[in-house]
Parts: sequence; C-alpha cells; structure tokens
Amino acid sequence: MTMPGSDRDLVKEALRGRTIAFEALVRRHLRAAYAVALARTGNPHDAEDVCQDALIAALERLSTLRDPDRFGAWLLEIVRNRALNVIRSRRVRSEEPIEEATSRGGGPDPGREAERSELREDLLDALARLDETRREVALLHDVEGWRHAEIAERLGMPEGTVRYHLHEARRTLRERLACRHGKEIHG
Amino acid sequence: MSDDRDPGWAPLDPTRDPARWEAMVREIVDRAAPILAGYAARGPVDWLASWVRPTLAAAAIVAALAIGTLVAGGRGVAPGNDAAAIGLGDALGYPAPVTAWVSTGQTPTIEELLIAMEERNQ
Repeated sequence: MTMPGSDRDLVKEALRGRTIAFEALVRRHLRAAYAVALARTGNPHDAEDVCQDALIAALERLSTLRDPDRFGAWLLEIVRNRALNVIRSRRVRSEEPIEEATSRGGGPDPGREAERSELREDLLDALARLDETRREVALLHDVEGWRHAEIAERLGMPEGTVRYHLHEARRTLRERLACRHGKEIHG
Repeated sequence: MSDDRDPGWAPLDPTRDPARWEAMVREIVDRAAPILAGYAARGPVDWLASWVRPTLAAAAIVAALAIGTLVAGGRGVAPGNDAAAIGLGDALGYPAPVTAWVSTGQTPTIEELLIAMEERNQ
C-alpha cells in the first residue's frame, strides 16, 4: 500500500499508530538527519545513535508538532540538540577526539575494508577541521544531494553564503587530503 | 571557482552500505513499535482528553486574567472617584453605603454596618 505524499499526511497517519507512515517519514528524512548528526558529532557511530534517538524522540512528541509540514526542519532541530548532548557527554567522559573514526571489522574483504576505513578516517579528519556550519553544508550538499536553495532555506542563510561555505569546505578537504597523502609519500 | 567540485565525500555516504542502512531503518522502526501501538490504542476519550487539558489550561488563564482585572479595577479606584466606585459596586451587587465607604476610605461604625445589613436584608 502506498502512503500519502506529504509530511502532513504521514504525521497524521503516524499519530494514528500506522507503522508504514512512520517508516515513510524515517526513509524520507533519515539521510538529512544523518548528515547533520555527522556534521555535528564528526563520528559515524555517534551520528547513527543520534539519528535513532532523535527519530524516536520526534515520534514521542509528534502530537506537539504544530506545523506537520515542517516535520523535516523540526526533526533536524532535535538532531542538533541530541548531537550537542553527545558532544557534551563525550567531553565529560574525555573520550576519543572528534576526528577519531572507528572502523567496523568483519567485512568480506579485510584489505579493502581497511582501505575504505582509512579513506573515511581522512575525510572525517578533514571534516573535524571545519566549523559546524560548513560541515553541515558540505554533507547536505555532497552526501545528501540537497540543492543550494534547499540548504539555504533549511539553515536560514542566503544561497550565496551556502555556496561560499561549500567552496571553503571542499577546499579545506582537498588541502587536508593532499597534506596527508604527501606525508605518506615522503614519510 | 574552477576547482570547486565535490572532492569525494562519498565514503561518508551511509547508504553506500545498503544492508547497514536498512538495518538502521529497521532498528528505528522496531524501537518505534510500542509508541505507535500506544497511538493506535488511543480511543475517543484519549483524544478528547488531549484537547480538554489545553482547553482547561486556557480557561484557567482567562479566569486568572479576569479576576486580576477586577481586582486591579477595584484597587485603582481613587478616593473621590465615586462614579467608578459606585459603578463597580453596583455591578458586584454591594449595598450603596458599602461602596461609599470604599470610595471614601472611611471606616464604618458598628451602627452604620448594622443599618447597611438591615437595608440589604429588606
């Protein structure tokens, strides 16, 4: 069975307890939520946890959402707050630094997995050198595939500013990766 | 901006591992099951209750504002402002001598009080 298209309809149906409606909301907004969570926490595992917790919190509070058409923006706010909590608790516990990515073992090809993990580590390291806004812009655009205008609207900034942040984020990443690979060559 | 192309964030795209991504979606939906079951079990009474609570809260605020306005109106009557005081006293059903004492700030004697009570009882 297909679900009605708008967020408003899906929210309404989810409030009636329809799993299919909530799942449709999850599938529609999870990528953006993940991009924002990763931008804030800098750690894929934390980003996943943040997304899960945020979506469950959103469902619990769904009846308080005044404008169901703005579910996406509302969810991203919850994601940001949850990510902030994770960062705070991480600071308290003095855990691993933001750029330290952890790889998951047990893949079909350990060598390839290690290579992929290393590349991901480099990217996360570069991400950690950006401020939160640039991380969010870069991930929403390059990973999530949002347009400049969409990001501008969601983050409440002019489109030109979004383009500038994206440009700077990409430049930082290229420099970081070049620096790292250069070290490997000469080291 | 000749070199302003995507430098390759792709490894950070979580959907590159579809199985893992699907597992994440499933985990969220599974965790949501008890909450959704709660919503599904909601009857008309629960829906009514969800409306009654904010309505009662709004009514309480209106009542508090109304009482506050009345009290402030009563206090705001300066001695000598007889017209306003008598108007308010009349509205609240106080005997005329009582509103006169309020407006002048005069303390009534026992005799005056008894007379006022007799007038009210007639």
